[in-house]
Amino acid sequence: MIASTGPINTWQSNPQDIGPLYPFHGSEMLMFGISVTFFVTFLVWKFISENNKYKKQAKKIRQGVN
Amino acid sequence: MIDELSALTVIFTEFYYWVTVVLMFLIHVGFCLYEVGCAREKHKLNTLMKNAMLIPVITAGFFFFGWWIYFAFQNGPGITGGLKNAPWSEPWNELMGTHLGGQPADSQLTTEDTHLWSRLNGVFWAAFLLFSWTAGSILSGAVIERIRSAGFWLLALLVGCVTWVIAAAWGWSDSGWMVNRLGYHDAYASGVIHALAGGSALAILINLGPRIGRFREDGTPRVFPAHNVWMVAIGMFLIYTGFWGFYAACNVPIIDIDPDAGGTFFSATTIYLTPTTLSAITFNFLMSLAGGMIVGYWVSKGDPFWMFQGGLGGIITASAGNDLYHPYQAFFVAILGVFCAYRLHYWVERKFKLDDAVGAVAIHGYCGSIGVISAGFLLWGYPSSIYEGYAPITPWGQIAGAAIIFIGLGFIPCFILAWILNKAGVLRVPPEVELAGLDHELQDADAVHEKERAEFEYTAMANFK
Repeated sequence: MIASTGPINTWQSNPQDIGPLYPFHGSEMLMFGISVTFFVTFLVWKFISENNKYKKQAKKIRQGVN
Repeated sequence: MIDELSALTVIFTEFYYWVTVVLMFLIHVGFCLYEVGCAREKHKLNTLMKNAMLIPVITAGFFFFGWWIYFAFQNGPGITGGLKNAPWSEPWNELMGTHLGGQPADSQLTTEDTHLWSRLNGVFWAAFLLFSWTAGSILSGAVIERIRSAGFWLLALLVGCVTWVIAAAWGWSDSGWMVNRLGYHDAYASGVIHALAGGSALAILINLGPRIGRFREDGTPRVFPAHNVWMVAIGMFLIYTGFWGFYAACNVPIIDIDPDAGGTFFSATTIYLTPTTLSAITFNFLMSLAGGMIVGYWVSKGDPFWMFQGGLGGIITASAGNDLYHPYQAFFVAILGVFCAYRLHYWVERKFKLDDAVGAVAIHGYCGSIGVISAGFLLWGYPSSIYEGYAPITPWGQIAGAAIIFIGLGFIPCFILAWILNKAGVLRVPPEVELAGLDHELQDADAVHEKERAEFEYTAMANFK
């Protein structure tokens, strides 16, 4: 018995019987949740880091001018 | 896919859309070049990153919810029916992954769904996604040199994954409620992409304000020249090239348009499944490009910026009816659109101190809206759909459609979000940074590296001697 991550054991079967080809079929909702969380985290990080960056830059420029 | 004809049709359609997607990628390359070329030297890297990162942000958003909105919202919902059931477009559905088209595992799917969508879901999704990038890029050019990237990406997500997709569901699908009730016709997206993105850009610009120094104390505008005119020119040529792919992607390449009469008649159709030909739209694409370039050159007295923009504006204006127009009509409509957009651009700039860095509101917003309305007059009385009971194309249906799209779906949602971002202090960069240049930190780092390199070379040379 060989461990398998997906529903395909052979390419010799009738192609009309083959549906999803990707591994871990059935975990789509979990992958969706993880992906959305990653995406939202990225956007939040960008807002925070950009805000901090511009505050520092503006301060530095003002000090440089004065 | 059991019989050869249906297999050939589906696989040809799959390949056809795949090619259009590759061509349309050039639109984004063109927008990046054009936008960076228009920006001043001190802002160019930030300008590039802001637009380039739009690709992954909109792509992810469009996979998560944009594609589903297109199918689910075609009835409004609440106007001609409820939310439509479209399981193949749900981001957790098996047809949003690698699939051979056999028996579905999901009980909501039918065998017909898997046969069709296993081949077409990815390429259709990508074609629409590239339109979403275009919508985001249109905003991106207008707001250069002062907008924050995070705020911009949120606005681009709203337009690229929500509002333009709703406009497409309503007015750019075979069963959208605007097509059904208003007879709305917009074959190559004058309204649903260009007018919508132009209206959105206008709303953002009002909240964002002009670049520092753009207007003198007496209110007259200063010109901020493009830092690289060759990038601008090549960018525009690439946008034209990608637009060919865009036109092809708006068609269904081969379908039997006479199934009820018992015969078989294969043709290309528009997104509304109404017949057209690639030959006709090629005539019209080029004649509208020509009309727009000539009038852009003429009214601006040979300004290269308006000559190139005029070509794009000409295509955009004629696009709503380019499936049916005669090439002369495409030519005249393009001339009308670009002439009006040019005049309106400068009138709005002086009257309202609106700083649209690349003329996006004029070329996309005004030309797109004029194009939708022009189609209402020129195609008055034509059927908007292949289905019985749908309203025919009329001027008032097109005027209502243009208003719904430019104001209702374009201007208002973006105005609200941009207003919130502005109040939260995350829409515009601080004035000190804007004056120093959005790339000034990188330029400082470059100067340090340059100094270090020079010192190293000097020491190495001294040791060598």
